[in-house]
Amino acid sequence: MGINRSLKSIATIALMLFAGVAIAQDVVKEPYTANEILTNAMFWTLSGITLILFFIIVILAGAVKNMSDFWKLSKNGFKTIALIAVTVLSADAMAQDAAAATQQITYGGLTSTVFFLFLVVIFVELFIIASLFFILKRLINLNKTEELVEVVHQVSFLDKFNASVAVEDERDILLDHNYDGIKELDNSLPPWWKYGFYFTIVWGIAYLIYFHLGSGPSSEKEYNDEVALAQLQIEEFMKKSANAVDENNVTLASDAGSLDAGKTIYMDNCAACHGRLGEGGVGPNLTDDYWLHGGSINNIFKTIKYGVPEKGMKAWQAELSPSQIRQVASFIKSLYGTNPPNAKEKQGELYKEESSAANETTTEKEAITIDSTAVVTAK
Amino acid sequence: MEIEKFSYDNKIVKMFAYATIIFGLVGMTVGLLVALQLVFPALNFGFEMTSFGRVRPLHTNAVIFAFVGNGIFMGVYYSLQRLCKARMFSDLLSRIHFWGWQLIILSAAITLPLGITTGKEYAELEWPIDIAIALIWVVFGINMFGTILKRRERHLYVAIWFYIATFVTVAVLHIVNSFELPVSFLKSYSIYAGVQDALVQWWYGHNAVAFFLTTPYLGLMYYFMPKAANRPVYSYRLSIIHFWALIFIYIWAGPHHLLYTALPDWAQSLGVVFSVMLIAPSWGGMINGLLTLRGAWDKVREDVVLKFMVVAVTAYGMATFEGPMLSLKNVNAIAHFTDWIIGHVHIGGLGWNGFLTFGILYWLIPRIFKTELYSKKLANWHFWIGTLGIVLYAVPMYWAGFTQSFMWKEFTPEGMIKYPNFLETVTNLIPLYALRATGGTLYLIGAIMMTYNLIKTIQAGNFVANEEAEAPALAAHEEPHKGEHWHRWIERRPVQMLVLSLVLILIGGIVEMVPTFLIKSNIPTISSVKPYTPLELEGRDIYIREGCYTCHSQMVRPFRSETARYGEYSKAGEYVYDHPFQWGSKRTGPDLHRVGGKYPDSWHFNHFLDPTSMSPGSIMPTYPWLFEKTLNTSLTAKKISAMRSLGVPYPEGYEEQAEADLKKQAEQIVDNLKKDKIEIMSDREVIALIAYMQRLGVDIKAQTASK
Repeated sequence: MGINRSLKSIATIALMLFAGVAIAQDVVKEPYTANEILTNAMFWTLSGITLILFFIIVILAGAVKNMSDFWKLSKNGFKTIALIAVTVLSADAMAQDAAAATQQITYGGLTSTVFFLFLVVIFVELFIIASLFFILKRLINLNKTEELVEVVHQVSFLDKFNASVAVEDERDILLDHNYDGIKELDNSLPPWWKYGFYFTIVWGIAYLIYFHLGSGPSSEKEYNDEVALAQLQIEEFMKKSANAVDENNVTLASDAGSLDAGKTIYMDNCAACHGRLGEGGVGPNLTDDYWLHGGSINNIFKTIKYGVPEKGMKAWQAELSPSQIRQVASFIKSLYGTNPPNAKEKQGELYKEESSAANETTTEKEAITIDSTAVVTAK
Repeated sequence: MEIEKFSYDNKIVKMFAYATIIFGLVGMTVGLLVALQLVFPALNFGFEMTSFGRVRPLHTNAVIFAFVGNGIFMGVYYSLQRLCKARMFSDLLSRIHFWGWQLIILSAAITLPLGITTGKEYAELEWPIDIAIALIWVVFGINMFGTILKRRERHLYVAIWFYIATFVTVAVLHIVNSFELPVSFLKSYSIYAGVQDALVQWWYGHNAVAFFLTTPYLGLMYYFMPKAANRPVYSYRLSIIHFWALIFIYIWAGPHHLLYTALPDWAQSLGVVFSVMLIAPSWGGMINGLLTLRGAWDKVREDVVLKFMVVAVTAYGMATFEGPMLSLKNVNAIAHFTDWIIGHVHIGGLGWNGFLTFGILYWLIPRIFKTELYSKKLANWHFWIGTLGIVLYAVPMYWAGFTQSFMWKEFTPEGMIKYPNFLETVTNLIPLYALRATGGTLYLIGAIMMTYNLIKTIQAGNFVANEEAEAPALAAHEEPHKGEHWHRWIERRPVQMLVLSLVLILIGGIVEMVPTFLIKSNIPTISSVKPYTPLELEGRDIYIREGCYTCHSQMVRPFRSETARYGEYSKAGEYVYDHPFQWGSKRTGPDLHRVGGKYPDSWHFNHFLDPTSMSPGSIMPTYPWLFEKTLNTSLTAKKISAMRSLGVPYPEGYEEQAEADLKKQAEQIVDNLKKDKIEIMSDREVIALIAYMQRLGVDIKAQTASK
């Protein structure tokens, strides 16, 4: 009969699935000890989802089995199995590619390989579910048009799914309750609901064990790890980049591109306090000969980078990159002597251009390398 | 058995129904105003009483306590009488309840725009109103229990279980969260501080959702949905399990509002796992509702009442699945403080509460007026416009939430935050805010159409103030049936049901709160954290008055993206003198916990006068009145002594010196401003607010400096 055929097809689907999982386990074996895997919350979450979906597939397959007759299923079944097979294979290949590219990134403690393989399995399961729905729908339609007599005795899919008594038979489970005309049925708990509830409870207990008795990270540790990882990545980047400029080695930029970029930064961030023309306002005038914290490119760079918090100049190093600070400092130098209207009175000490670079910058060569990381990692 | 004749009180139902409609329109209109203020800041009008920080609490209080509150009472007064086969216990108590509740709403509508607020979200009303709420709630409870006790129906239907749990839990939540020390008739301080205040507040806030917006509405669903569909409830067993599981588990979930904050990790984890366990009990209600419609789906196509109810229950299912997902720490890291949460609550508010209320109104009004609905077509239009409104509201909010969160978190390869200017992450969202306001407008138009439709219905009908009914008297004693379900036992015993509900809902709160209050290691002290100066304290009260917490958080979370933007992440010990806490729940503007010392006094001065002068494109309201009003220092001494009674270590007798210190500090700020060519009198409110701004989050720096 049809049942045999459909059972076979289900078995094939299940086999394909397990094959997928087996491949997954092969790939991951080395980075984990069994113990680590067992205490990983993400692993359990994903396994849980995988199992739930598998459970749904079994139920759906059962429904299909009940509703189908021999020829119809075998046609549809073949199509589905072929599709699934192709998907599983190609998805596995994709996952392995993805894994190779991003080895270090972890998702909730799992390497991307394991994580993506889980996603693939879940995706495949969802696909199977969708296919089974499609088959069911067609079967229901077929039954309606061709086998009207039989349909009456078929249990509807939803009733099956929820383990409820069919509407036609509900008199059997009608309780003798009557509240202002409202009656109550005594349907049993939908199994997916009940087992879903159990699952969340088990999940909850596992979560608490993992994070509070096991090796789960605290919020503080998560933060420290995140910062440490970022530091490494930044150092890697800075080694290759020309951005390692600081107050000791900064030079005045004079090309139009840099000055334009500097002007944009100035208008966005500085103009509110120092005036759109550098005439000063809340902050001091930037166009005259007098400087509170030194007027050399190095000193201006330093003032912008670290700020003078006690006087209200904030530190910009978290918001502007070193090369941006150089651009805006160079732009500010270019404002010298523009004599804008409404200029603020002079503040600070007279600064002479010539006396600058040579005297003021202490040329501590060794400080340069240390500072280049300080620029970007300061909080 | 003798048949008794009696009548149902429909008049009280009608009164609550009218109040529901009126306050629904008012609350939604105010909501639309705040939505538009985010698009056009000019709509703050530069007036105190219309600025966002004061109007937003007005919106939330109006829709929760006035619209949904009256909706609950309308539905309960209608269904309870019929489920108990008895008139309400006392018509007088019903009237006191009605008018008392409306007076509370009126006092909220007056005090909130005046800036009289406790600064705790959804519990903003000041202590005299809190007392009034407690009293009126007890009146409601007595009236409800009186009715239940004189019922002519042996067993309590599931709707009544939910009403009982609602009554007892809301009472506990409201009282515990409202413990505050009065300073004057209209000013008080929460007796809890910082982390503890946050825990109590969100235990309350979350369960206001649970026991004010959810359980009573589930009760209403259990009455009105089977009635409207004329179908038996799907599963009695499911009702039992999901009811008890829901009320037990819900109460634990509050800490999910405080993930990745200074709340101890163990409390956060409890919030996570109980939220996840909440999926099934919540969905139990949805399943039981939707499956009750089995065999009646053809009716759903015809009957607009059922359409509203189906969308309501579906929205409930969506929101109660989304909630647990948002409670997972990694999802919360993205969603918290963003518009995603605004979208989430409006799926619940507009979809579940709004649509169920509309469905009930369309069903109930024609019945008590003995007529047909004036226009089914118009009601259908309402349904479609409302549904479209919800979609247009929610989708832009989800979009905005994702966009903003990812902009906050993005770094350049050099390790700089990519959008250091917070404002950039806000101006990006303005088109989405405009779209959201469109969705809200559609929803409001739908509600106006309903109002018109119902007025026409009422005009055509004949109101039955006292609906005649009859039922056999309840036998003094009845033997239980053989083989009946075990749960029938408690359904005959309302008092035991009340007590059991109370015990169940107390467990979660006690387990979470008692250790947080008693075990010192949960809030490690930081020696450099000192009490606020008198001027800063006054400034803080202005911060609370202006509702700054509606847009600004004071909680730097332990993420690299936040410490890079704001500075060191926030520690529990920094908040020990914060009565009440001001962590906030939404960042329309940046976090302010480390704003102290970041900008000069003059920056704040200019920024409060016109935010766009310092931050072009800012959507923050202007605060001109802070520059005109003189700081009221008549309560300063009292505030100091109130704080001391709450455990803030001001020296004995500091009250005497407080005002002098306050003036001295104000003069310093005025001097600072003078250096930047700004002249202002030292007695203006803005000076105090600047003092508070400059104090925020700096104490911990003193500690790191001394190390």
